[in-house]
Amino acid sequence: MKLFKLCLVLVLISLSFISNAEIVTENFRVMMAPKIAKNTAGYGVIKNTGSEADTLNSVCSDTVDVMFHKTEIRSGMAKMVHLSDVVIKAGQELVLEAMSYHLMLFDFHSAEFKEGGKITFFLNFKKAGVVKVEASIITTDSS
Amino acid sequence: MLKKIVAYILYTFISINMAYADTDVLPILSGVGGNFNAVDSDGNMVEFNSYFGNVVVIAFGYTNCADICPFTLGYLKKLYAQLNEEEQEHVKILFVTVDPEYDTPAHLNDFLNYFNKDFIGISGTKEQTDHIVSIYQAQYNELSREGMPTHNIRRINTKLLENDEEEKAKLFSHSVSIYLVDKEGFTRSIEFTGTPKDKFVEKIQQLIKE
Repeated sequence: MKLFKLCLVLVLISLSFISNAEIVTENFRVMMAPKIAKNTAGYGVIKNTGSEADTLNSVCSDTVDVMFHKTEIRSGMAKMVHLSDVVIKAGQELVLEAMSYHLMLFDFHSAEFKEGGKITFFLNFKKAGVVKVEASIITTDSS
Repeated sequence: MLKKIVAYILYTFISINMAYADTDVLPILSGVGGNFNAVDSDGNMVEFNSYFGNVVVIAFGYTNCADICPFTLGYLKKLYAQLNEEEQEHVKILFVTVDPEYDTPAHLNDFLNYFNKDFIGISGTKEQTDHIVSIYQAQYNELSREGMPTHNIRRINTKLLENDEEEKAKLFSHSVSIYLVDKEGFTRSIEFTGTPKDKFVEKIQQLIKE
C-alpha cells in the first residue's frame, strides 16, 4: 500500500510537468521465474522519438517492487549495476535485454504472477513525464 | 597449363582443409578444471570424477541473480533440448552456485527444476565453492565487498532486511563462461551464451562420439 501511494504521488507530480517530449515503448515483457526465485527481470525497448534528449529518472509499479539495473560484462565477469537518471538522446532508443539494461523485480509472486499475465510499470521521465507500460509475463521459452 | 596448375593447387588446398575439418579435434585446455568434492542438488556428496563417462557442461551463478543466470539456464535448457534422448543420457548440465550459504541443495533443486529436471545443482561449503571456482579459473565476488552499494539494489525490499533468513541473500558478480568438459574430465572448450546453440551442440555431440 505504501508502494502504491508512493507510485501515485510520483505519477501525479510528473503529470503536472508533462511536456511534448515523445517516448514510445515496445515489446515490454517480464520473465516467468521459479516459485522460489526472489528476483526476475523485465525487458523491452524505450524509444525517444522526440527532438530533444530525455532522462529516465525512475521506474515504479503498483504491484511489484522494481528497480532499473544494468548487467555489465567485464573481463568475463557479470556485474549488476543500479542505474538512475539514464539519458536517451533524441531519435535514439534504449534496449532492455538480457545481459544489459533491465528492470529488476522483487516481491513479484502473487496470484496474478503467471504466464500470460500483465504487470504495469510507470517510467518517470524528466521531460515526457510518466509513461505507463504494460508488460506481458512470458516464459524463457518464448523470449 | 598455368590454369591447370592453379586448379590443382586449389583442389589440393580445399581437400586438405576438408579432411582437416572432418578430424578437427577440440584441444584440451590445460590447467582448466579438475576433480572436486561438493553436494549435489539431491543432497548427495559428489566427486566430479564420478561424472566420468559423461560430457559435462558447467556454468556458475546463483539463484538470486535476476538477469544473467536465468538467461544462461534458459540458454542451456534450449541447448539440451536440441540433443536427442540418447545424447542427453551422456550429458550432465551442472550449475555451480557461488552462494552456497543461501543456495542449499534443496533450494537449488527447486530452482533448477523450473528449467529442466535433469540439471544438477552443485553446492557445498564456501571452501568447496572456492576450490571449484579456482580450478576452473573462474571468479566471483560479493558486490558489497567491491564497494557496491547493494542497499540501492535492495533498498525497497524491506522484507529481506527484517527477516534473518532472508538477510542471507547476497548479490554477486561472477564469471559468465560455460565450460565444456569431455568424458575423461578434460575441459575442451569455453563458451558463453553468445555461442550459437547449433555450434555448441555440435561440440557436445563431437565429445559424446569420442
